[in-house]
Amino acid sequence: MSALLKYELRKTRAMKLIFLGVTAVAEVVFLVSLFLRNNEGNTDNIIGTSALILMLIAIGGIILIGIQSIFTLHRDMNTKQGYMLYMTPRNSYQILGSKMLENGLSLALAGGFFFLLGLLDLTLLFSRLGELERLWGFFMEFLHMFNAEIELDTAQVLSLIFELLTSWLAVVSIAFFADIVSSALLNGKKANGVVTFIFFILLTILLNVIQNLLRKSGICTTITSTLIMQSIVALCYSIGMYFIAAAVMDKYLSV
Amino acid sequence: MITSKNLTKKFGTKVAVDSVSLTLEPGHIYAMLGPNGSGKTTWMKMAAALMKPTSGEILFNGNPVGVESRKQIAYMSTEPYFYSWMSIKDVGRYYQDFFMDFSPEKYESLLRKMELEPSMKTRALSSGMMAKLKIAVTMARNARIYLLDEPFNGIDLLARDEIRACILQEAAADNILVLSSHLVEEMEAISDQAIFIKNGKLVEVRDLEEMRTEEQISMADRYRAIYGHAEVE
Amino acid sequence: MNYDPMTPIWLQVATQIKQQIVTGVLPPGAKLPGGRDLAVQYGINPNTAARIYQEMEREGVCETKRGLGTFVTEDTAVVCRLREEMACQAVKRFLADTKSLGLKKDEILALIQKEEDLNDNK
Repeated sequence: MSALLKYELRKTRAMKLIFLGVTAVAEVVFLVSLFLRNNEGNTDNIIGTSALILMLIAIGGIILIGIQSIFTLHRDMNTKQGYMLYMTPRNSYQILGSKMLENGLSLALAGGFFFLLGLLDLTLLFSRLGELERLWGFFMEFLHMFNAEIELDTAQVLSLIFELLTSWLAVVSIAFFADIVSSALLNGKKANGVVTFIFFILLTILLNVIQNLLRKSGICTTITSTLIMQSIVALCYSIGMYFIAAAVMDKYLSV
Repeated sequence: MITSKNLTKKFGTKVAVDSVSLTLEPGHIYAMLGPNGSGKTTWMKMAAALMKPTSGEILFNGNPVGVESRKQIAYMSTEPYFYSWMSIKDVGRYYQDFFMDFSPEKYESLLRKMELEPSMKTRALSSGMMAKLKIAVTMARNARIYLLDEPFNGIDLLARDEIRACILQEAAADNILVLSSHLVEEMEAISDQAIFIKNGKLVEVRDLEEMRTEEQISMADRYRAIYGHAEVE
Repeated sequence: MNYDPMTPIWLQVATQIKQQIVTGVLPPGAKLPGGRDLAVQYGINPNTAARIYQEMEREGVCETKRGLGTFVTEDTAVVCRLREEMACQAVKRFLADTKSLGLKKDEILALIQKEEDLNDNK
């Protein structure tokens, strides 16, 4: 499976390098403008803009990693390129497993990378502009007006990021599953695309329903524990999708 | 040994392979013949365990083909299938990563014989060079069965000579080669058995020298007799 | 290599090899290519190549030495006989062709004489 994983990682390398490059440029702009700032705040606009761009890159990068995985899987099932996988002595569980693993790994890496970068940039920002801490406090008060419970501590931020990443992983695996089912069972049928999409929507709703039910059941008392519970549900759901999809692939997929 | 038992593949209502039963033995080069769309590729893909039969079965040494048989059955498709980022060298490395029977030395020597530069990107190859690369990487495996789908398609005379030599070099008493083609003349001398398939159905399997000796007819003659005059290329 | 697809290919290649033996291109005792090399060289099926040596061995034209390979016979009498046989076959073919054109023996002989004279004057 390591060989499969190696080539799955190779398939997404180009996009990751592009994101890394773009991030580097934005980061340099951010750091330089932060460094050149004088007391009148001459570069505040650039600092703000580059920080915003960095955030967008982080979000966009993570979204695109998932979308690229879906497209790669689709190509590997529906074009000649798929022979590269299915002519090898590897079974569907290994083939799909390497794809899931690649996606999970890439998401975790990208998530971790952007989280650390954000942390670093925020620390630099705070140390450079003492008055920003006042702004932050202001922001927290603003949040408390809506929900008194919100207490932005590290555990919460981390579990929130974890929850977002696992939910996205779950969405990607649902897409994998829907695409596999349509390629393996509905191949060549007219309503293929529509059926796949409906399938995808229904399975996503099901995940949310399960998460909501568990949330309302009252097992989790804090926000952090709720987020962790949701993450675990999303992870289990992804794993479930993986096993059913691999089984369908094994039994029905013809390339 | 590979055995196809009542093997059938349907695409919707279209029957691509229709209840084909045949056994292929080691020590032979089989020419799988028939006009385009007669079911040759579909049969091969099922033998390579890329496609699943609608009914019937296909056995390799007594067991249904699948992940295990892919270790010993080398399949070469008509269309190029390598990843576009790959160089010729990467293709070899890929085969080495996945197939225990792949010999990098044999691959290198085949590349030299065919004058293929390992650093070339596969997306920059002409169709003739691509055909040679596919053959080289497939034949660099020491497989029990080689399934070559249209190895002579769309390439010039010189490349054909090289491909023919490469195929003959690897044919042995303990392996089976199946070559599909609609270029009948090209297959006449190198194969010793001909499998005629028409509209997905097996017509017959013939020993070619026997046919020439006993009936004074060539493979091409038989082909014309079976498929009519319209579609001989 | 072009073959007459209606005649067994082993026979066609065997005839070519015999021609080389008769004309001395392959002298008595010369080593012949191995089965696989013969197949590659002539672009023929390896089973056909094996058949060629089997048949030629049966006729005594070549012999296989265990572990060494196949060699042209060193028996010059066999080569002479082979030469005669092949010449005989060529003449038979020639006669069949000319007779099918309705030529008589005298006419055929005269024609041969005329062609030979032309060749000599060249």
